[in-house]
Amino acid sequence: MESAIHCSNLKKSYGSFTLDINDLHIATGTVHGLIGANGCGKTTTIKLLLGLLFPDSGDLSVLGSHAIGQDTEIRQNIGFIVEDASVPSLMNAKQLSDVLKQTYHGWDQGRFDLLLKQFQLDAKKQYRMYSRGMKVKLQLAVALSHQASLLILDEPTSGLDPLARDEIITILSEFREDESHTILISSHITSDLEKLCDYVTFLEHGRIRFTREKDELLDEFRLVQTTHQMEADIDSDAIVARRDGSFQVELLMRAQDVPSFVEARRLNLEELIILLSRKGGAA
Amino acid sequence: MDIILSNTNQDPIYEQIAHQMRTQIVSGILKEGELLPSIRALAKELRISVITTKRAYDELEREGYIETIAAKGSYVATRSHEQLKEEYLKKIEDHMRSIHLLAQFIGLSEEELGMMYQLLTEGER
Repeated sequence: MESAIHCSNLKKSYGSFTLDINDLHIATGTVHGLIGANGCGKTTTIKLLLGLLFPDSGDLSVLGSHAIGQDTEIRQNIGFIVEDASVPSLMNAKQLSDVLKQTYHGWDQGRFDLLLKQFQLDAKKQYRMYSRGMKVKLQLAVALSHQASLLILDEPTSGLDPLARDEIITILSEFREDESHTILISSHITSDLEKLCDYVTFLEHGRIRFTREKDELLDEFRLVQTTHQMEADIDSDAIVARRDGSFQVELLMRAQDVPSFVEARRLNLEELIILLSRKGGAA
Repeated sequence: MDIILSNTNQDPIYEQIAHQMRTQIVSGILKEGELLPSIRALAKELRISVITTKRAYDELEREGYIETIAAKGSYVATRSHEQLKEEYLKKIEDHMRSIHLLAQFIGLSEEELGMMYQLLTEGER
């Protein structure tokens, strides 16, 4: 499969933190989730991919470019959301679009105006007067208005209310309908956005713990809720992770290891990641 | 075509899709030769992963319910309706055979069996 993003042995250090992405491959036409706790290296990864940071060593290729930091032509095809996007605070959306018209060859003013309207953003209001959610929406409107084929979104739904999150999922679903379009979304913990993801990469302490097809990952595990007493009959080697309560115990197990005498249910991605984070087990 | 996904349902999403499409093909709501939405269009509408919808289609294709023609799309397979009905009849027959066997064990009369069935269907109404 053709890859939109490929990283190998990518390293970047700050003080005691080291990001070490030994192998990350994102195929064209897929939606890829980058998940993990605060400080695990998601934002650093995204900044490296956008050319906002330079790696200490290793190779990365984004839409075929190996030097995304210098490659302004390729960057035309990337729409992005980053937390500290340096939009001049005194500018309003109208003035911003006047600048972006000159920046992007593919700028589509009609599309931008439509998105502003859909997001109920006041084009005359200064950026600094926008709420956090409005700032994210404005960035998304920009990202979707210059005919990008790759979206790289750092925490696109953080600070948004459920209604706005829902709108964003709809818009991303539409973007993804074109099979030449690729989306990379990061999230500190998975949200409703997980539904869109074909693949997930779980980052922990600057390293990739795993990259998996999401459905396959969810099919693999089950949550067993049982009593401490009942647990004695379960093979302890088959327990991947656990959470002990006073009155019950929750066990993460592989579906095929679940004994027939206990009840087991499927987990959503958020529950699964939390349990896997508790223990350095394999996945 | 109607597809209702449930978060509380324990079946994986792809299985929920495959199951509902299967039912609609067998009951004739989805007609033989009918063009189905593309994998990407369905993923967009249901707001789920493309891999998930692809898996549902792959399963239906393997089971012979749908056919995919490259660059054209997926269709309800032409074998469908009559043959599927035949398959279902066979399945019902198998179940009846085991019901018959179980009923014999405990000496349940045909009348009592009939009443049980009646109660069951009334409960669904």
